[in-house]
Amino acid sequence: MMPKIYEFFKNSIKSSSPSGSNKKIAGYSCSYIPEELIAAAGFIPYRIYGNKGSNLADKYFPINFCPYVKAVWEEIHHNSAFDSLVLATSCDGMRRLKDYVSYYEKELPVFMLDIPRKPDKSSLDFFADNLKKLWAFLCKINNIDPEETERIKISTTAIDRKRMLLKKLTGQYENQYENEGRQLVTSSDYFNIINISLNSRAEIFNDELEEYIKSIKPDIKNNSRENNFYKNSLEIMIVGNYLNDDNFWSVFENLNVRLVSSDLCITYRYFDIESVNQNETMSGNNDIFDDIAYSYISKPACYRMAGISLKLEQMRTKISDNNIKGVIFASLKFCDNTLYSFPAVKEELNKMKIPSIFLDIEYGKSSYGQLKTRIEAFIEMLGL
Amino acid sequence: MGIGSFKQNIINKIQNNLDIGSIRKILKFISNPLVFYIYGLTFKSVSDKYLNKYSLTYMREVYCGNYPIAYGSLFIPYELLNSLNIRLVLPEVMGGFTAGLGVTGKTLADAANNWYSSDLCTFHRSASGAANMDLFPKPDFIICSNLACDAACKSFEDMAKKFKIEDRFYLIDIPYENDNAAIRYLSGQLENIFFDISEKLKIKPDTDNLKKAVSSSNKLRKHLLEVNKTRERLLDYPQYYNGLSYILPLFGLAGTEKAARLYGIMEKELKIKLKNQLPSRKMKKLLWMHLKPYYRNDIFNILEENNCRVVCEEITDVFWKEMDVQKPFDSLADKMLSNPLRGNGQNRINAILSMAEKYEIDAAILFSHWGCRQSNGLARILKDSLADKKIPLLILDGDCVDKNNCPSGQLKTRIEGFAEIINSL
Ligand code: SF4
Ligand code: SF4
Repeated sequence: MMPKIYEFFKNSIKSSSPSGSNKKIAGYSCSYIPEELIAAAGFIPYRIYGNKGSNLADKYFPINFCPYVKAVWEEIHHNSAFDSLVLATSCDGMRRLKDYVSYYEKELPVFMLDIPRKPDKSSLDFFADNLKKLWAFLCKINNIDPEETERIKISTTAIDRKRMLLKKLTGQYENQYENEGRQLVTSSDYFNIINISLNSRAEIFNDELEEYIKSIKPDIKNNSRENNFYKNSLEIMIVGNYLNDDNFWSVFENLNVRLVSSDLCITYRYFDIESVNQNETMSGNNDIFDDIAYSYISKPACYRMAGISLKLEQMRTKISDNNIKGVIFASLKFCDNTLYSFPAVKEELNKMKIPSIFLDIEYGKSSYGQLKTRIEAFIEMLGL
Repeated sequence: MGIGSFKQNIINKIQNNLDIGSIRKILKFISNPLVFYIYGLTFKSVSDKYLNKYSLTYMREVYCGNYPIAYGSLFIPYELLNSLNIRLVLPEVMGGFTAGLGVTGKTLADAANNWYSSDLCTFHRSASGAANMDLFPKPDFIICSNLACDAACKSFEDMAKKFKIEDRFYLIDIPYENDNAAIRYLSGQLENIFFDISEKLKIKPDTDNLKKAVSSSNKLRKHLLEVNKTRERLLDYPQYYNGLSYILPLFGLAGTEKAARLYGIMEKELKIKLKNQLPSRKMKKLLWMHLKPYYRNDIFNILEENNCRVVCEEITDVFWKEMDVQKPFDSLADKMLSNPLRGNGQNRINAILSMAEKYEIDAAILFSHWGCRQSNGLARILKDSLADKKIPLLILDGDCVDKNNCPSGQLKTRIEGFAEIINSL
């Protein structure tokens, strides 16, 4: 059954259909790929979900391979509506995906954005240079003069607004208990809205999200602190990679928990990015590519980046600031970057005496009944 | 007592007393000239003897406590570290070493207790377990890169955290492309590492020594080129000769005179073999991709029994140019960037196809080591690319480190089936 929230965002959802537009679509795969560049070059940026349902990719990839990479390959190989593709050097799996596209889908223009692993000055310069190359690649396909960098500034306006609204929504979702009397944004609704934001047209989505946020009005009578469903909710932090799966979020539908300060590719890592459209440039160089490089490398880091200690420190702060009671570490299966980081995370959580649970997610193919049972048992244990 | 059981005795000792003190004692014991002489009676080739001799001396130095120690991942520029007179532990090589000693049951269990998922590569899991069990000397520095895979960047950083030396952890970020910007970016990183380590060691950065190391590495390269040229024509190999056993000297000891000398010995030995080569029955020539299992196994014997012989390995190909001694950082960066396992998979495919042509191979084997995303992920394209050249490829699922994850019966059946096909071609 379609989640009800889809009705509210129907125009956004329509705008995300690759076939419904006269603009070209550029599929992209990672939160480090700047949407603003893709949009500025006249493409609709489309964060690829992949085709989660089928198993055809097993003919190409080993069984123990990232299910997201496989799903993306299925979408590209069997049903491509993309005019171009921007992938990133997030991991070995993505490197291989690029190889499959280049080898078996020769007609599809594909760009591999090299993202450095460190935030130092030379890495930023290197990244800015790679962003310029990406810009040139996109402009060439759409016959745009790459010198017209003003376009980038314009395109950032809608993207910045989207990020600002998503942060506002997140504030509503995470603080609804404190802001007593607010209507509820359920976990399932919250994550479904983020999903919609990933590949709908920013202008359309922004208007609908703004309306939605306005509609979350205080309803003192029926939704007072006492009646609030979340009155006794547990604050849980969820940490992982690209968890973009309606089924997974539906597991939380009737559970009395709030997923606060989540650290995922689709939450803070996606929208907690400083605007590059400021009067004073961030890098101090007055160069738009330097500024984008700076703001993307400074965003909440993915586990592929170096600096696990900083990451753990941020996790500690979030846990104590938000009174987090437990952590769910959920990783798409076979994701080396995340799996190798888990021992350090687990050790830290143990030191803090914060209970945690590790979940392996199959991306669309997991047995949700089993996941639900494990999550319920975990939450029950926390509530004791 | 036969030599076989003498060796097994030593291995049993290590298995039963698994701690750094016993490893030290055993290394000392084997290094005794008489013991080494007895131990060495099983060496079937001169280069094998020197490989063991050099490795043993090196290991003693690693464990003696008189040198600064660095852990390094496989494809980092060891010339740089060797020029600083650091002794190196290559956890991936050590992962193989733990397999050879039959102690992976313990190291992998330790890694599992520390939340390392069994979906991860066993080289790293076993090395992490061993490091955690204090089987290696404590590191002063940890250096890794994302060449060839993501694993080292993560597992090494975790080790740096454990040993509380995060300020001495260096991640070399290898660019995806190979262009001028990439060389600049990479060479800058190498230069920083060299100067930073020198400073931390409180020694004057000695670029002259680095240049010497680059020059030794060039010598090694020259010998290896000759070795490979000889192997292109050689059928009668020294028994048990296998390029996959030379990972430590080829990578970890690059930049030392010893490694260059070892490859010089190998060149001489193979050239003599070639000169004396009698027309022998025609074996099917195979190319080997990725690494091999490092525990006792029969793979290469089964191949021999079925008229197949591995004549070249992807890992021993000379993929880099001669380095410019006067520009050590740029040259080392260029060497790293030339590695076919960097970036685009087409780099690897091109390297394989060119080897296939040079060695006139009949077939290829990709040892599909469990959990190695970078290598196995390319298997299908490798198969299709080789099929275009009418070269069959066997994708042999297994594990280089954990013999329990590599059922020998299944392996045998698959190799025999494959051999039957290629022998009928
Ligand atoms: S989930 Fe992990 S393995 Fe999969 S694409 Fe993302 S980073 Fe790569
Ligand atoms: S076997 Fe593969 S995953 Fe393991 S260390 Fe080597 S390249 Fe990395």
